[in-house]
Amino acid sequence: MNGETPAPAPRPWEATLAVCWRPAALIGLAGLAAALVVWASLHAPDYVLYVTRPTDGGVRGDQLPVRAQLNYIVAAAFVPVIAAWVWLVRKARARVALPSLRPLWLVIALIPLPLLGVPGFEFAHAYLTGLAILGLALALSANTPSLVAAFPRLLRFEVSNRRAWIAVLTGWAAFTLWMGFLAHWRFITFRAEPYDTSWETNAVAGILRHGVPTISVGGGDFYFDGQRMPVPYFDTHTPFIYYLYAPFYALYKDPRTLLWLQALHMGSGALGMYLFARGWLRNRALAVVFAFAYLLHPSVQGHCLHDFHANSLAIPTLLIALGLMESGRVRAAIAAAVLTALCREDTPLYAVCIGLFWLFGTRQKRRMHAGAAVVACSALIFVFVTQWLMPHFGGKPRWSHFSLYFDQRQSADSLLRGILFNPLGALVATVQPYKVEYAWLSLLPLGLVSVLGWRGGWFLLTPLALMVATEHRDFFAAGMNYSAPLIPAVLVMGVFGARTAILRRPSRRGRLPERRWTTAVFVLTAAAVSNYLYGNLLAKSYKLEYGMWPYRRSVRYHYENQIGFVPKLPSYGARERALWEVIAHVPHDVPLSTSWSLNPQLSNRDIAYHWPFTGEGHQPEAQARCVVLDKLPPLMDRALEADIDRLRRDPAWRVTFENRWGVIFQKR
Amino acid sequence: MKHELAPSPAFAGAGDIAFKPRCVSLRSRSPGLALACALVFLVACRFEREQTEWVETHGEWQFQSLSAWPEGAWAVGLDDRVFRYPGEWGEPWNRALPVTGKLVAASPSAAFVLGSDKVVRRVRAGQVFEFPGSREWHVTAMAAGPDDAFYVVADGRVKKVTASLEPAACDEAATSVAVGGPAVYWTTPAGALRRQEADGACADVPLPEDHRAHHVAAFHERLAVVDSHGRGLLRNQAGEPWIALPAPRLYRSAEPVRVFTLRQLAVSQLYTWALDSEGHAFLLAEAQ
Repeated sequence: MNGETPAPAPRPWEATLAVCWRPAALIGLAGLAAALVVWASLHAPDYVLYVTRPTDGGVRGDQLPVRAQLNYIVAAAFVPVIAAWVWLVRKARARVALPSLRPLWLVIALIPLPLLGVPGFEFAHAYLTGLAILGLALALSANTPSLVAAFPRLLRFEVSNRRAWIAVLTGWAAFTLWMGFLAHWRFITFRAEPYDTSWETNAVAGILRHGVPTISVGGGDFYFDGQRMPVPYFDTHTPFIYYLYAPFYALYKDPRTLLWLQALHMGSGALGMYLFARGWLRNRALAVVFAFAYLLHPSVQGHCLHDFHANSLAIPTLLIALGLMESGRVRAAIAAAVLTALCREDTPLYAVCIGLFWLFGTRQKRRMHAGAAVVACSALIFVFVTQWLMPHFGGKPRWSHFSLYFDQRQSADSLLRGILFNPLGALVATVQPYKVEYAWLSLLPLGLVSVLGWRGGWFLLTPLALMVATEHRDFFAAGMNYSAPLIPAVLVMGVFGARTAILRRPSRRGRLPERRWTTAVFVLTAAAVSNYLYGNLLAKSYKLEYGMWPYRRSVRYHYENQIGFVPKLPSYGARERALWEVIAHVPHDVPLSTSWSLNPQLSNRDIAYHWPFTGEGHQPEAQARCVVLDKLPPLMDRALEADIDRLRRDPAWRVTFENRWGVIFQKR
Repeated sequence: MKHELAPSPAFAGAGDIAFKPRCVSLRSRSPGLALACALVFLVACRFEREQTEWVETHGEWQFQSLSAWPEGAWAVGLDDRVFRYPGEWGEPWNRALPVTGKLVAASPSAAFVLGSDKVVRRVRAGQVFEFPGSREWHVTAMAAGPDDAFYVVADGRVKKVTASLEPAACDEAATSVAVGGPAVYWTTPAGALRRQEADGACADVPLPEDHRAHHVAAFHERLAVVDSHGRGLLRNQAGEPWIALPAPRLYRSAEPVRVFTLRQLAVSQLYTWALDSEGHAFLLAEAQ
């Protein structure tokens, strides 16, 4: 005996086959995937047709040479594949343990990637894109534990409190700078809209001038009906939160102040998200991931670019309320929840979900008391605003947005009964294809983990009330203000979904830190890729325009006629400078009427009508004494050439300033 | 523990200053951080060049014929219905005329439509008027001017339409016609651009080399020409140089950008419109 271990007998061929076929198939698939990715990267346009129209009346002759190349690339890819198969069989025959082949799933997950470089593909094929994102996130997260194992220091997956706050605050600052800049750029290149940059700027400026929000931009007499101008905004919306914005606006009375403040406010939701996720996930690093996922969510970013809206501000305010509660600041949390309710007439329906969640989501007495207080307060605010304040000012909530009523009355109780007494009808209304697609696109940035987080399902009551009962297409486009109600539910449920994935399903998923890593990588990948495709932070395109005609000037790529997006930011050149020169020559403190494109820039004036309305039928001092018209192509609103000619010929008006792109008329 | 460092030249005269190691470290990193931020910003910000470009009108529709007027444009759809732009909210091209046709020409107060039945009609304030005998005119092109003057190319020659068909002062063969106020322009089968003055004199309008005119549009002295290769030329004032117009580019989601040639141009005082070779309608967004 010489002490040597005899070599094990080779594994029989039958057993080798049984051991090898799965890894061999995976290697083969990875080889095929690699070939496909190389070919698709070389021929992206052909690849789009190849994938999206596979049965498009057969193969055309001009497609054959391109397709023939794939044969050669696949053949080339299979040289290493065959070598890997031989290596695999030899290892298996020799009874050597096989290494993990999980990284090959990453190669397979790359198959759809070349498609995502094609402009607008992500919007034209939302489900396919979503599956691509999920596949990539899954493949990356599946490989995370083995990667982390190589770095034992990382295994704990935790950061210090200080570093976590630095990360969150840096993210907030970057978000504010970037989204504020985009909103600013959109404004100075005349993509902003009267509805609702002008209205909301009017409203905040009105608080400073008159003590209440006022507006003057509208469709003319049919809208303001001979009232004294400017009219109190409370007949249409009740944005109480603007009282907090007014002092900042007073420092620099320009719509851009509001746009930057909006970006700052939307970004502040990251703080709430961090505190909330930290409380429920018991891990600061994972909480930072969710704070980033919030900032990367395309809807959150879009709300900074769809002009300026008070109801969108309820999203970060709501998250701050939740976060404050998790960090033990109960009074501050209640105050933030009440502030959520005060954002606009519809946001008590957001706040009431906070109250219900606190009331029924835990068994802590303080939270339950706080929840009951918030529910009661939200209900009171809702009733006060919709039943007294708005009617007092001659208006009412926009019940016309909804259509799922029980009877002929357009009211809250008719709407409620329309849903409660007709659950199947509500279900049919809910699963309309455009609504399902919006839900898909909203869930995607968190990797669909929200569907596991039913503990936060209270927040679905807001979209149930505000989105199920409508057929308006613009309620279902990420970033448009009316699409906001679903977003708090997605975010809150996302945290609970992650909690479920980490804590409730420990079997076969490794240790707790590994599950945290896996969840974090999965969520962050989905968030980052979704942001790249659908968002605006270092993204593929800029989503600057919202709504169907006449709300878009670019007319390039659009999503369902609701979101206009462009691969590059519009230039700021001689045309824009000339228009700003016109604006600089507009007299101050004179009632104005302006063309659509220039109205947001002049909406800090007390009265700035939308041309051709000049205030006839209102008090004489509110009638326009100055008309400001642009000469841009009539892609937004009416063509103004005839109007400019008519005013030129009208002896009551004289031109006080004119250049290539705009003209100012003043009453003699 | 503090590390005593030599004062930086920037602090010369300020005495010795003690820096914590962390400060030194941050200072040494700050240029790198600033560079990284600048790089991210530069990579992230992609700006359009300042350029004149065609912007497709809303709706992604296709048309057979287009004509400009001060309040926008009229266009004949592929289904022969006549639409106007801009239209109503949410409906950028809305059907506005009670007639159908193949060709449209617009003046400030009326629209002229060549019907599928070869009859020429005028629509003014909703009232339709049929030009008697127009079925026999064999109209192939039409144009209306700012002062409502109406010209056609009938039987291959330029004619003026009043109550009936009259030969133009320059009774020449033409492929297209345009009325720019007192002057009338037309393109000849040989590719020349011709002009008839108010006094009836006829003259060539010189075009840049290598351009043979195929279609012309005019509003006073603003002239737009499509050449035989589908390229566009624009001249804002008589005596000014011709500006070469860009080719229209069509953007569709999940499709590569397609570049088209021009089929037709239309101009008013401020706006320039185009149909591409597939009938998509565009507005010119000039940079200057």
